[in-house]
Amino acid sequence: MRKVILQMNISMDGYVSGPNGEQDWIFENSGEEGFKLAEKILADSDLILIGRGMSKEFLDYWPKETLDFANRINSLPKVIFSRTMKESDLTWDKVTIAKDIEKKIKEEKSKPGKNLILYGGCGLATSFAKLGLIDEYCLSTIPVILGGGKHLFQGIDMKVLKLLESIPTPSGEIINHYEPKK
Amino acid sequence: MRKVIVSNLVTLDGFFEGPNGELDWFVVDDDFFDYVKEMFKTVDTMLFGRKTYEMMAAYWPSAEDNDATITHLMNKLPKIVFSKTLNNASWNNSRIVKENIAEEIHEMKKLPGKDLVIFGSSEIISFLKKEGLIDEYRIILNPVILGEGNPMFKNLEDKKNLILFKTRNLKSGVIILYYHPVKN
Repeated sequence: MRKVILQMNISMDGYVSGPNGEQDWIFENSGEEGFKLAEKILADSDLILIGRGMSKEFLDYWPKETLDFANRINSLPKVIFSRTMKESDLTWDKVTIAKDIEKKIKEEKSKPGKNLILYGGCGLATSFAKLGLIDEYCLSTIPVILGGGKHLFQGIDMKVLKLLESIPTPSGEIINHYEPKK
Repeated sequence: MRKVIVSNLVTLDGFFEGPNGELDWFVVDDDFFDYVKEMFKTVDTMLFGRKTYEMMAAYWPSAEDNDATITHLMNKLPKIVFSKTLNNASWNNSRIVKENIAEEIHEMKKLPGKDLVIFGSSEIISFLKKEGLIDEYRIILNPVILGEGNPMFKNLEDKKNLILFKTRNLKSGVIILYYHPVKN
């Protein structure tokens, strides 16, 4: 069955973005190997899930890039989760809106296909975790102390995960795959 | 020169303790005890902030549920607690330092001896980070999402780049990440 895979980057001190939403520290401190792994996960996915908050930046950014990774991102259909946005307002191709997370994921999982990749943001990832809808957590620890910012998973009940694989890279990122403990 | 090493267990969502200092989520097994015992071969002094010190001072002298060797070392080794308000540090082999923390650490680093280790103590760690006095971070990443808690660092102004120089995977799914700060 299709899996929902959360892929996010976390600083050594546990933040997913800076106090003002900064993400520059991710690109500044990650390298080729981490990127290759992200490409592999994306190759095994055929639907991109994102939250409203990051959707504009995400959808405006990737069409300007020409890397293979960007081509793959641009070619895949995307779902924005939002209660307020309307499909008629959208200017991007292959983008749909879903209001109900559980209903949408149930529907997608009942169809054949590759995995569903969830890129965040923080709020949507937390909602998915709270609903128990994440089948695999792919969390990269970036070698930087951010000193402050946003934490993932705020307010969810404690969960213990099972480590599937841990991949250190020469640039100092370490990519850890977890699944929920059954 | 002696190194100052931070060794802290943290959750996947970036906390070193629960909102009220809870540590009941620690994933601890013989593999973890081996890490601690190996660390104690290279360390001869422990540094604390007041809160962590008080919590540990209430636990270790009568600890019966922990590894016997580690319990013995925790109680035996010299401890330094940095606090302006603490007047009495009764846990065996403790000394209170009330001021000039940075100078004190500079001096200690110059003395002969093994390395210095800090557990917990987020305020002291933040201060020492700012002063450039931390030589190594060992982040013991537990496969746990806590949902709320206290981060090791908050409201700091400067980012700090790190070099990951070693990792160690424990059977439990805990990963120990060894970092050096990048020198400015």
